[in-house]
Amino acid sequence: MSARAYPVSAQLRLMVAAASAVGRTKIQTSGLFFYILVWMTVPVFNLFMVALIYRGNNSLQDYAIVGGAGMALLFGMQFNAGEILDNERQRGTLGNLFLAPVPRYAWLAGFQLFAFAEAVSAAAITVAGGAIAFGVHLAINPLAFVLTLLLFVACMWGFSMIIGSIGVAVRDANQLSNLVFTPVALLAGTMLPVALMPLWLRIPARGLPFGYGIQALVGASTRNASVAALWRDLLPLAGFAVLLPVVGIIAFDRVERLARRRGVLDLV
Amino acid sequence: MREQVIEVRDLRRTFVKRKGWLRSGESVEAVRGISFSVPRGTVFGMLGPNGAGKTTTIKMLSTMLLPTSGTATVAGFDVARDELAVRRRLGVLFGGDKGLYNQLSGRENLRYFGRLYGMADAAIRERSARLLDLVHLTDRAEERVESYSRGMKQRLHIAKTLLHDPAVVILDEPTIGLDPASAIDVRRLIADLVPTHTVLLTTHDMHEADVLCDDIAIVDQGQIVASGHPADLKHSAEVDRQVAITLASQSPADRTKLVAHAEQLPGVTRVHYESGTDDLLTLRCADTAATLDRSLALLREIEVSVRSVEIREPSLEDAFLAATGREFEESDDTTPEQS
Amino acid sequence: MSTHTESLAGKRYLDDHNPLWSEWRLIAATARTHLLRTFANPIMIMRAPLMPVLMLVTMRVVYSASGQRQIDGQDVVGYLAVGMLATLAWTAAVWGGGSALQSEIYAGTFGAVIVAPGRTTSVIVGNGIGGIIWGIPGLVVCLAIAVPLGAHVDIQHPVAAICALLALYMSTLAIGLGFGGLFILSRQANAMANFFQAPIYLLAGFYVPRSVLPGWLHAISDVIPMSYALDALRDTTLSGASFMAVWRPLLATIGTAALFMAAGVWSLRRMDNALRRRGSLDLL
Repeated sequence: MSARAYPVSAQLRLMVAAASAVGRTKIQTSGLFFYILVWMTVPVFNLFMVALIYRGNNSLQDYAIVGGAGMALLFGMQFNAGEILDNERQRGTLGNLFLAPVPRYAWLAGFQLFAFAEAVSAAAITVAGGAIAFGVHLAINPLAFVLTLLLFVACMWGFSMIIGSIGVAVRDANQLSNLVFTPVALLAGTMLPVALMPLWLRIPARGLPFGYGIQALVGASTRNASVAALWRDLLPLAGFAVLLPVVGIIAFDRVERLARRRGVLDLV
Repeated sequence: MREQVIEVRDLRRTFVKRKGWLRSGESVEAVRGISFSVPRGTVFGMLGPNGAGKTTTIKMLSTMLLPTSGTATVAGFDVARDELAVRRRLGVLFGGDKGLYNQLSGRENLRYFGRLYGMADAAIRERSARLLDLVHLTDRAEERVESYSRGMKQRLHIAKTLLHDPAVVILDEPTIGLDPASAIDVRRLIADLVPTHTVLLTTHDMHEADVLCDDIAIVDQGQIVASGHPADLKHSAEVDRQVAITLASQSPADRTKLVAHAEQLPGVTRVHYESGTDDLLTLRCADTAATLDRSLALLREIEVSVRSVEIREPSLEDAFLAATGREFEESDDTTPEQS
Repeated sequence: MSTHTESLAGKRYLDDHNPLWSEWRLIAATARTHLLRTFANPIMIMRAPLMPVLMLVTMRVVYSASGQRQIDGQDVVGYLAVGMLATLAWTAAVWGGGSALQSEIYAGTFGAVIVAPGRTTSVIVGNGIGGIIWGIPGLVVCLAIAVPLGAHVDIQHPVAAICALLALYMSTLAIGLGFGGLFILSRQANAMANFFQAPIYLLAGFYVPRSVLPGWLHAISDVIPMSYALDALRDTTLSGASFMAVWRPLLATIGTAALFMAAGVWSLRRMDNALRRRGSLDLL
């Protein structure tokens, strides 16, 4: 059965099933308590560190809190991309997934669906933690906020596909994510506004989508900025939201073919 | 009387199955009072289906698991109290794809495991070279283990197990998952271990137990249901030996005459005749070789054409059936989760 | 030992002359194996020098945005560079040492390591030392970057600085050992190692001074050996402090580290027994 012949409803069911399987496995492996402890609280402590550095500056602390939520989104989606694929490889089930006669983007989307749910939960906990510890002044523009979030998530999806595909190729997606996360978190402006970065950082920050996403999120959630007011950030973000998923899909396809040619798909 | 290197007395092991958050699982007695002894310089086999309790017993003897009750000694040392002394004298093979460092070469793996056993540099080098040669891995010794086939990994496991030249060697399913050629290689290696070593191996391969072991314990549902020399176990199954001869089809009169003659053959206890496209003459007897000679001579004499001959000896499977009352089949492989 | 067991000892290849030397060789062999396994991963080779630099630059930029020129009277870059050093030591100790047994479980070698006569403690320490050695390139690169970035190094008593540095590494090894058994007993080694990282960075003053923490957190901060080791190292490398000026934090480091070591040895023994009793040594 070709990918086109596979009904959309079946693909959606597969996506949900994949998300559920991955989520249950991840939670049951460490237990609910440790799962929450690790995956939900790490961004909170990072936020505390940054917010303490900004003590006395309410505006920067507010930024740090929303930026911290952005970091949680980045953390959740980027790490999950590689980690899930790595775990499948470790378990010896990665080959089975690739060999299944279904569009692979259905189960990949399922993985990402879980990653998104986890990332959003972590982001919410981060904001709550920051608000309790430091207080936060929020003024949310719902439309701008939701639009920014959707575009940001689309960018993250594409980026995590790229990272995930490289991870499949090098057989260590987790360490690759570890390596990439720190510069991405910095350049994304999760800890300070892009405008306050030195020039040599501002240039690469403007070349990545995340900085635009975080700036827009901060504006939409702390200044009640409208879509129109945020157009300078939303326009490039929208462009990346189209480009990155396409690049991600191509990258994943290419890497899979390469892995099958070299025979490394199942090699642990 | 030979010195007993491994002595096991009423060994028991109970697990509690985990059940969700409350952990109020049932108890499972995986080993229910096993007793046996292994004389020095022999191969002792524990034969049984999956889930019989063989691996749990091995784990207790190798000090990975504490018995719930009972005692076991290896080389005179108690496995529960003197685990360090036991570990020094024991080589254990769990085998499989895991248990080796994939990123290291075969030689590097041996080097590290040698250190774990407190061996000096020179000893590690000497033993590694010798063992790699023994297991035919010298040419691949510098390659990473991740590139080894399953058979190669198993051979490296054997080299690792023998590295410190332990007096006692425990092998848990040493040929599982191997292709026939590799399995033969490994069995040959195991056979060469005695009498300088004492070997305890577990297997669910009847043939392997038959060819390798001096003594066998048949294990089922956590208990030893029969034990002894393989030949004695097969004999104790009280399954007759049979000679089955496929003949060209005979007329009813010729059949009757043939059966009458066959019943007169010395050593034949029972004759069974089946007619069909070809006829089948089955002779139960104590001595298959002699009965085969005599029956073929008889058939030549009365000019009956023989299509094929089959000799059926009692097997360990018969012994298992006799001991347990059921076929040797895979049981549930439930390694219970412990709380 | 009876005659028959002596004849079964297989003594030819086991080196019994000096058990301590044997354990030290195991530690060295484990460290070597750790390095070989890590070196086999190209991403880890890239990470080694890059991660400390990236983190140093990140925190430097954040402090610049905050407008702070000094932290607790010491220059920002120097303060952060010492914190980076502690991060490397922590990574080595906890991810190398404390998670060592978890790493053996992933490799499927845990059972083989346990049934060998070599001590589990030696395996953990060996992995920790391997991690420390692996972190040296990162340390060198970090220090090489820190000076051009503006770190004001003031070492007037090198011996004191070296003692403080050794105390830092010792404290992280002690924590790695302390957590090793706990990690395994809880069956959540990886999760716990991940979890403890960020709070320790915060509470021990890696990048943010302990003085800004709420009072009630000081009670926790005060039992972490690295808190004192960091104070001593910063004073001796950034403020020219002598040995006499830092003997108190050094002593506190030794005292708290000893507690963790004792906890580690105790928990590893308990771990061994508990897991053998539970039967979950290879189900982790």
